[in-house]
Amino acid sequence: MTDAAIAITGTHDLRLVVLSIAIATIASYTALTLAGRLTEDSGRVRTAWLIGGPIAMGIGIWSMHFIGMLSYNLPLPVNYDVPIVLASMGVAIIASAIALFLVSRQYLSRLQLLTGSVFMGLGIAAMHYTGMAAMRLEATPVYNLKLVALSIVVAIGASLTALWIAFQFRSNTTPTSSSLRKLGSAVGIGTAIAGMHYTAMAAVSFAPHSQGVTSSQTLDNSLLAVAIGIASLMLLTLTVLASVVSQRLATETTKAEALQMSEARFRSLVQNASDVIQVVAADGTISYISPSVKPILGYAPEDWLGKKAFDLVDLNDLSHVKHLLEQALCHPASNITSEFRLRHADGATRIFEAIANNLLTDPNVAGIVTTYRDITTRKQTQSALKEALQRLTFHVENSPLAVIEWECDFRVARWSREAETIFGWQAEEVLGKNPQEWQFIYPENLNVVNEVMARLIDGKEQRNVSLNCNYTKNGAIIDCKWYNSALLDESGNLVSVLSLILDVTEQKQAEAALLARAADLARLSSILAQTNTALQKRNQELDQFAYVVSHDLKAPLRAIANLSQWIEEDIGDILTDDTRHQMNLLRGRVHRMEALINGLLQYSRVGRFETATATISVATLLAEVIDSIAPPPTFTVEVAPNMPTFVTERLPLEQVFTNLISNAIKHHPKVDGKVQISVTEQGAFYEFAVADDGQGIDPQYHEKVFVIFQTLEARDKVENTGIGLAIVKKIVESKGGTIRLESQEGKGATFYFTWPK
Amino acid sequence: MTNILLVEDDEVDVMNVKRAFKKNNITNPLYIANNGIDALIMLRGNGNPPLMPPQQRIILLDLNMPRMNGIEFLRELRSDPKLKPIPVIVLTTSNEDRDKVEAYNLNVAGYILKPVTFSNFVETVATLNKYWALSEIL
Repeated sequence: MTDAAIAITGTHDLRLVVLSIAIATIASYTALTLAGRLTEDSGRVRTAWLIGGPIAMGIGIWSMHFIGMLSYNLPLPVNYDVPIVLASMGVAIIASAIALFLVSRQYLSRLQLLTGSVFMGLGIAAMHYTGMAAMRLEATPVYNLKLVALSIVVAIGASLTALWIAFQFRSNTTPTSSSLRKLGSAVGIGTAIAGMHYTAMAAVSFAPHSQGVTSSQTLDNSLLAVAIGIASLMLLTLTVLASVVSQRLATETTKAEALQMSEARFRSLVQNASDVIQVVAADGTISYISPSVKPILGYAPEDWLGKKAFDLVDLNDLSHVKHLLEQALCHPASNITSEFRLRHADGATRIFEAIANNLLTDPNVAGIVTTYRDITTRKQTQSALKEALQRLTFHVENSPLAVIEWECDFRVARWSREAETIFGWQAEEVLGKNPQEWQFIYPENLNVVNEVMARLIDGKEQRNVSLNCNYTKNGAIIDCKWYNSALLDESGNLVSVLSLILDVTEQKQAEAALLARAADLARLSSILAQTNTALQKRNQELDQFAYVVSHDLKAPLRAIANLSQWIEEDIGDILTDDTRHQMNLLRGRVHRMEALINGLLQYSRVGRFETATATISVATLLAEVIDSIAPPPTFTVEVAPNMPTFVTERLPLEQVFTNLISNAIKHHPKVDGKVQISVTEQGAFYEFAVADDGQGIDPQYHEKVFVIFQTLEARDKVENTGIGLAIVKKIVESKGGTIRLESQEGKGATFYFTWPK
Repeated sequence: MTNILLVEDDEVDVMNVKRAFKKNNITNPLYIANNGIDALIMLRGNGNPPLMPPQQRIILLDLNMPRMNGIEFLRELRSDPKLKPIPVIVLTTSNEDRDKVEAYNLNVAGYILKPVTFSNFVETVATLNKYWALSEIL
């Protein structure tokens, strides 16, 4: 180890070492400050920092290194190759640029941090060994490779630490808390950079080219070192100062902008508020009123400055507002709410809701802040709502139907007066109850009621009708018709159910009675049908009887008549006049008997046969009847001109007229008698009248004349069976009409009969 | 000369006819049967020679008779090929439409209601006499 034995190592000037460490620390501090600035500034300022920063920092690191080199005393004269020195400075600047570029980024991954640190560490190492290469002396540097490697590791480690701390600082901008930490970090990084340098220096020793060189020729480089140091410090200080000033400027600008924005926002809020904001002094003098007073109350805000706030108030509420002011004065810094009326510029009175807050002690306000809002429309709406509710309640209470409102869980919410009347329970007895909680629903109808309710609840139906029984309070069972409708909210949920109830008990009873009556009627109808059948049978029997009468009774009569005549013929020679008269009487009675039988037959047939209907002109019919009767030419028969033409059965009407007219003529005592026929309308009937001027009929016989076989004169005097009027009466009545007689003895007689149109 | 068969149960009515024939000097042979059954026997003979000659016959028929009435007799007569062509004049008191319709449906030559008085009946018989005197009868 001869080489080693002759190798020389330098000594360090301690003062310069301290200076170099100080510079390293300051350079680190500068770097950290710059990192902060890079994130906060933008645009051209940032570009300037990106260029100037690395230069300042690079020179700082380099000067630390160079001062460190200068503090290294060798026993040989040392010169420096200036271009290489400048190159080493350039390397330092590039390394710094890489570092600052990295920390100025938005995000920094671990890999990027590590890569950056390696580059920066290598850069610093490169700067150092380039600087070493600039040394010109009569010796060859010998490097201890282990220490060289260590120095590079220290460089990378220091870079890593520095970048990481700087990156942290970047986001942390609070000035006071970070200053100390920043300083500490700067000291740490500075020491680490210096450590790298001195580790590297420890790695080198020099082998002198000539043995005879002694240490007597040691050059003192202290002056140069101090000069470089001062220059570096000045540069760094200026950089830091520039940075600080720039930061202060930026902060001020931001604050001013924020203030401006906040004020603009506040002004806009106040101007466009729907509330009026007003500040008054303790005596009520207005010191501020918001511009919103213009749209709300119609006044210009400047007109009210310095005036009393009470002048805005409606006279009726003045004392109330004064009291409010007193309240506010008594309770500083608390909200006092109130309602009062203010006068609008147009003279109308509006209702306001106000909040007053006594901020007299607050130097920023120094007044009572009153905020008030126009609630006139709200009040009107409220009162309209209240009125609507009152009206609804009135109608509900006065409805003839019982009204019950159910909550969505079917508890009673409303129970009208009529509900009280129908069911007996008072509202307070049932309100809030579920109908199953008291004896209200008739058990047999429980399923029906539950189903009806379920359909309303699940929204299948919005209204329905149910007929079921209910109990009343006194236990009676009544039939009720329920008209239910569900009230749903906007999302379709059941809010309540309204039921209108009609008591249909009486109706039901009436229906039942009607049903019973219908059954009765059906029974009666069946009896009637049976009776009708029996009647028809009886009529058939009567037909048979009439047949028998007509043949079997008339035949013997005829035989008697014939025989009497033959006897008279056969023994005519020996008959006395008396006997001959008796024979005539005998035949007369036989003929009368036959006439009676014919009348009986005719009578029995009336109404049993329907004859064809046709359009009948009564005037024509009467003309034919009169013609067939052939009254004596001295007799007058007058027919009124207004005889109707209508649809009816011809034969029965003809029979009636024939009988009445022929009776009038037959029974008339004079040959120049007169018969008048007239008609009047009586609703659905015509009333015909046949009047004669004959001897008339005593009222006591009026009924009797219509009875069959009744005659008022001896049959011998006027040959008459007494059946004509009985037949007339039967015909008229079988057609639904009536017949009556008006007559007095000696004053003629008038028969009136009605005939359906 | 036409043979006349009078089917009539009432003795007075038979006398009536006889008297009317006499009054009108009608000399035609007059046979009397008291009901439909007797009348058929007289027409057919029933094994014995018929009581009436088998040609130029005319029947005066009453409707209301015991055992077999006039309508029943007419049906029997019309269903018998031999007796079918005999002209029948109904002489009755029945004014029932039903009887008239049934009688005409069985091809009667006339339906005459017995007049009430004898004098009228005499006139009626005189007219009938003219009828059968003029008619060609088988």
